[in-house]
Amino acid sequence: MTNKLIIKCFNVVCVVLLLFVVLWPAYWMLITSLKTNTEILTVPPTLIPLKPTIDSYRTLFQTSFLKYLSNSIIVSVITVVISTIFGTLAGYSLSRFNYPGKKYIGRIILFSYLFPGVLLMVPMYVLASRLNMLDNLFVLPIIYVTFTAPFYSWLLKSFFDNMPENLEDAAMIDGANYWQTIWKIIIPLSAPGVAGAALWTFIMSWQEYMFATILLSSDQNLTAPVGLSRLLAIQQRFNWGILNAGAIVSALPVLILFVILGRSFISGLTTGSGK
Amino acid sequence: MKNNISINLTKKDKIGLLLIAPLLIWLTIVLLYPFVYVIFLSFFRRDPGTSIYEFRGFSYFYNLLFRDDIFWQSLLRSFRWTSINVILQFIFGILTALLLKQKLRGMSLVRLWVILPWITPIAVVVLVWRWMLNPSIGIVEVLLRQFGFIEGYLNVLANADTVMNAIIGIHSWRFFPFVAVIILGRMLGIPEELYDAAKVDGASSFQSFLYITLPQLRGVMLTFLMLATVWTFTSFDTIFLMTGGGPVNLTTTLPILVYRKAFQTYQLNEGAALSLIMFLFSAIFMAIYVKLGVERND
Repeated sequence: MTNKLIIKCFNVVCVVLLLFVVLWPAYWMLITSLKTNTEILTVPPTLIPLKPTIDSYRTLFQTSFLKYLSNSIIVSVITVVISTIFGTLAGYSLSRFNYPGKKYIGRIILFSYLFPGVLLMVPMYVLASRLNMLDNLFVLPIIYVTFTAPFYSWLLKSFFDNMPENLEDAAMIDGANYWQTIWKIIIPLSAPGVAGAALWTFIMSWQEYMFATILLSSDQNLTAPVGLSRLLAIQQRFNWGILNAGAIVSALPVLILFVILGRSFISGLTTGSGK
Repeated sequence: MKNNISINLTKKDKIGLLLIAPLLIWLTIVLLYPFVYVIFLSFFRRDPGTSIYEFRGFSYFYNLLFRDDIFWQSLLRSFRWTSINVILQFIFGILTALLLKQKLRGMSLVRLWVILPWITPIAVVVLVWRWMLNPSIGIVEVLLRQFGFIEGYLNVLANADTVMNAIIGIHSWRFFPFVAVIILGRMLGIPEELYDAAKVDGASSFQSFLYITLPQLRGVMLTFLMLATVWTFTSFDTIFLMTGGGPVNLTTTLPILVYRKAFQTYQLNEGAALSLIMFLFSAIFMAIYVKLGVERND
């Protein structure tokens, strides 16, 4: 009995340690963003701000940061919408149909998911400049969908695999055609799978840095990660309070969505990879 | 030719293909075409004046392999970067998954939020670590100084001895929760009866782990070893944002070198050739894991 108690205590200590390791930087970021500049420079640092202030956020929003955020939202939303259309249709097709060559198509899609984006850094830049699409925000969703839609369809495929076919059969018997079945039955029922996959897509496109930094240049076109890293690069002009405020604000949209959709996201992730 | 095939398709087949066609077309244009183009660029140079492409044979590869010390240094560094990262992510991933599997109050919340480093945008992660590692007022250095571990400034990110290890640590810190959640998902799928039976037979929990958990995890672990190897080998953001490959070239891995070639010294073709070399390595990694997976499954 005491043995069990010791193990339990050990587990609790480990969980606390794990949470500390994982959550501490987020806490520190938040705390720093709420401190006054003099308090930030104090050694040793205070663990809780003595005089909490939102001055850093005020100064932050005097820069183009709101513009960066709205750019990021535009890019991510377009990416999510296109990925959802492609991913749901392709996932359904891979799960429910049995046409010749399906196995190979599935492999091609899986391979595109594994394909490392960095290999396309050079050609994407050259092609974008040939097509006069450098420094154009809308070139980003085009690229992002390529890297999100394959895994999206894979997640949805396993979601459909676990969904009974009875309902569709019933609809068909009642005289609905394929399109009506997809529209009225499949799309509403796939909502939980879509929620998880869409959140994953949003996280991916929201945080993407490499393509955004090589393809965008002018200040009003930057996405939040690129804007944030440029502020960091010229940090002489911005103190750490403002930079941390920028970091908090850049992470916030993802966090809010994760609070709402996190559970279906995690379960989608684990069932999608379980096979 | 195409018509001959489509004659054999039923109406249902056609609908299935129609549903998947948009994705395939998109992938052909935005993935396959640029990939073919990068191969092309590593052999052909475009004359800026006349816009005519000129075949250069293997000269770009030759330059990289035989005239560029930085390439070999970066390649070795990439191997080191990849292997240490993958090992760290897997050790901490499995340990964390084992911990998260325990039944404790509030554990479902822990399982959810442990993934925070992974969902946080990389630029944010880098910013907060650069802030914490700041030599004069960053909390890590301040505490190390306070407790007498260091004297003066360590300046982790400018120090040749520490900079690579620091970035490896931060990269692994960001990814191990993801590995843990994936492995946990598979662990929870292992039937409880297996463990009960082992307990009846007198197996210790370590033996259960060794003979039940690990074999059941083989598939998911091989898959994620493969993914982690390829992704870490080709990862760009963490190093680029932390140091940009510096100080000097001390943290330059192959992806950073591609960036430097293409966008700092404007040798686009050498950058393309280097991308192709990275692709070959990635393909070799995948092939090794696929072979391992196939052989052990038989």
